[in-house]
Amino acid sequence: MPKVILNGKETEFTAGESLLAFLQSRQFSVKNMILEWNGQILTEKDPLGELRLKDGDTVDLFSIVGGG
Amino acid sequence: MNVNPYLSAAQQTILERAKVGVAGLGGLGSNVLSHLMRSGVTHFVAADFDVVSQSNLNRQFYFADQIGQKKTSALAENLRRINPDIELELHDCLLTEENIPEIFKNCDVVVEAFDKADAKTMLIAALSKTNIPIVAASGLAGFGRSNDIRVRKVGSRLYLVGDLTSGISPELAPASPRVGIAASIQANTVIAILLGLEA
Repeated sequence: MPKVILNGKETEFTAGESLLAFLQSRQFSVKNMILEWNGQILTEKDPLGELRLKDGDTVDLFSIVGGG
Repeated sequence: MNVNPYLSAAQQTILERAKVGVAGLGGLGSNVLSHLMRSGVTHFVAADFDVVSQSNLNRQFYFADQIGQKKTSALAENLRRINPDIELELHDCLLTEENIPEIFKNCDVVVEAFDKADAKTMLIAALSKTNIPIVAASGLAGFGRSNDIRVRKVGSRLYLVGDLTSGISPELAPASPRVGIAASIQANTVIAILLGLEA
């Protein structure tokens, strides 16, 4: 199984899986989440369902919560 | 007027030539601007649609006699009492995904200083396709846990300040010390970006 590094941990994914499907299958919501995918910043506004994961990709998630 | 005589001539030149954008003039934005202008930044683009209310005085850089005034003009007044020579481009409007890239297009750095999570994410999304560094905040409500508030670099141009978990809720209100820590780290990060120092 191919693997990505998700929040610093090796995590298996299904070949051909999209970034969105991968996150949803692991119960991650992308609402108010900043994603760092191989150094690129993404949000829910980006076409996450069209981005295909590759073996060795890194994905980090950062929650945006209210207050200021 | 130069309010920070402790800079080298080269640093002073860099900060005087820089333009910093601040999106939201609440607990984060009003305090970030105060820090930046005291540090020697003189050109700003600052935007907020709101007016000063009594509930703002627990953490925001406004005074009781300013309740009801537009935050843009009230803050300009307060900052100019510290340095009358700063240049503020004020936008008394609601910031949207459409107008953000235009309003902040000439900025060297933009500070995300909104209250609501949706607005924070919207600004990051709106500027993430530009080359402008963003200093945003997430997770600063409540008291205590000072050391949980830190800055993380995400990608090549986004800096996230906060603990990423303490959102505001009925049990967790925003308060001056913790919002102030986050605002101070945001301002310190902006200066570091401008001067080429470690964030």
